[in-house]
Amino acid sequence: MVGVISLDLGNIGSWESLLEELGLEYRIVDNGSLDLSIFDSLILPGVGSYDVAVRNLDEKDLRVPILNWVQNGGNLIGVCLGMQLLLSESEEGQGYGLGIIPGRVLSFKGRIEDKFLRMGWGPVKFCDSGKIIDRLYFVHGFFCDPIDDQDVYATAYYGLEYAAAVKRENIYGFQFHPEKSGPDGLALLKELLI
Amino acid sequence: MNDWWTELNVRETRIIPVLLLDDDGFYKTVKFKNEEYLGDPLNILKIFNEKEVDELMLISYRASAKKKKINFNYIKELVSVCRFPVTYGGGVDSLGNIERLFRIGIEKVLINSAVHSNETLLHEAVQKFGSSSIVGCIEIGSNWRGKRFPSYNSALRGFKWNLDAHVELLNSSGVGETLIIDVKREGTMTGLNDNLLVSLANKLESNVIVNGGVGVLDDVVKFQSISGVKAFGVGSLVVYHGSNKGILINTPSKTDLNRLQ
Repeated sequence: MVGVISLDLGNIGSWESLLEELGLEYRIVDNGSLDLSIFDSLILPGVGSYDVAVRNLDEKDLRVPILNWVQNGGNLIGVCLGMQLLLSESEEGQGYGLGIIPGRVLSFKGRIEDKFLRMGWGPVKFCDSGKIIDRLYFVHGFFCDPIDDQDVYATAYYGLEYAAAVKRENIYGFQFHPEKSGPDGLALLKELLI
Repeated sequence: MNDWWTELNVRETRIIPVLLLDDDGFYKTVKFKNEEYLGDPLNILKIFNEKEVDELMLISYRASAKKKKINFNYIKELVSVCRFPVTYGGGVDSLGNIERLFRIGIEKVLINSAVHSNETLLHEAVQKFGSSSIVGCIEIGSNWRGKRFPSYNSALRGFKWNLDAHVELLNSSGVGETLIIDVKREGTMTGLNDNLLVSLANKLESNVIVNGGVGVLDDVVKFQSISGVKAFGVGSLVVYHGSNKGILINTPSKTDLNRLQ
């Protein structure tokens, strides 16, 4: 069973319809009282602002259960803002992320010549295999900058090369939206969830 | 690091079907009048899935004018079949509306006429949901003297700002993207109004999506060469076929799309 963490911000409905299409059972996790051991994987989706997400994470008492889940070797997939929450902190806000992957989330603003918000489709290259997936959907103004290069799983380019995905043991983070990236995104999620 | 991305021919430009939603389906209009029913919405969306469209906009174009409530159940049913990002607009007038739209699977929410009665809504929405999730809007109308101003719902009443004030509101809100609708060209297939749209795009700090007048893909290619704009809302281009404007849901071929930046 898949647990979809709700911080009252994410595009939860997209995940529900996608998991139904994949034939996977799921439950929405919107507070820390639920026993996470019933799940095979947890998804942390994200649409919204960093500080609001961090505040909701704490108000819903979800931080400690998620960290325990990770410590016990559980599979966790963070998407977009959900990926950014895996890191320690962000230029977007004052709050602390989960700190599972040490590093900061940085703004494109002032670092590239283009508009600060990346919106649209583009390729990523996986660091270990060299494989390129050429059509994934991005929408973000901030990007992850892990301290340890070993945590960078794939890169993308938008005025600069940055981490499009991170990976540490069973923890994955995707800056792009695999759930909205057509067949390529679906294939990527199938590999991790089925 | 080698520049692997330079070896790929990556199209950054997004061609975004804009579908006008009313109670029972999708419509195409000319200047937001003369509605023509396009067919079963779920079938249309499934076709766009197969065509792998870049994104899609669902606009309940009469919602605000008729003070209609958002039909969340219907929108959820529609968006559940979409494997591409969907923006919803129409009747969005509160943070609660926006939160519920994200909850049912919408990726981005467009706020339009509500800013006329609630000037802080855009700013509050960006603060809560992030600049990448909120889309601003300018519908450009004109009065009988030809003077341009922001209208809404194609009605020439209710406006109180001039164009510059509206642009300033959008810029100060921190919104990440703005849809510019040229009402006079909507559905006319007569090409984009270069002067009007380039001038507005340059004033806006956000990314822009221009909409109103695209009849053939060459209209986009031409406009892009002078503006650098990378997102285009299209209606007639993807719902009509041939000079008789027979209804046929379609998208430009990949060969044609590769002509874009």
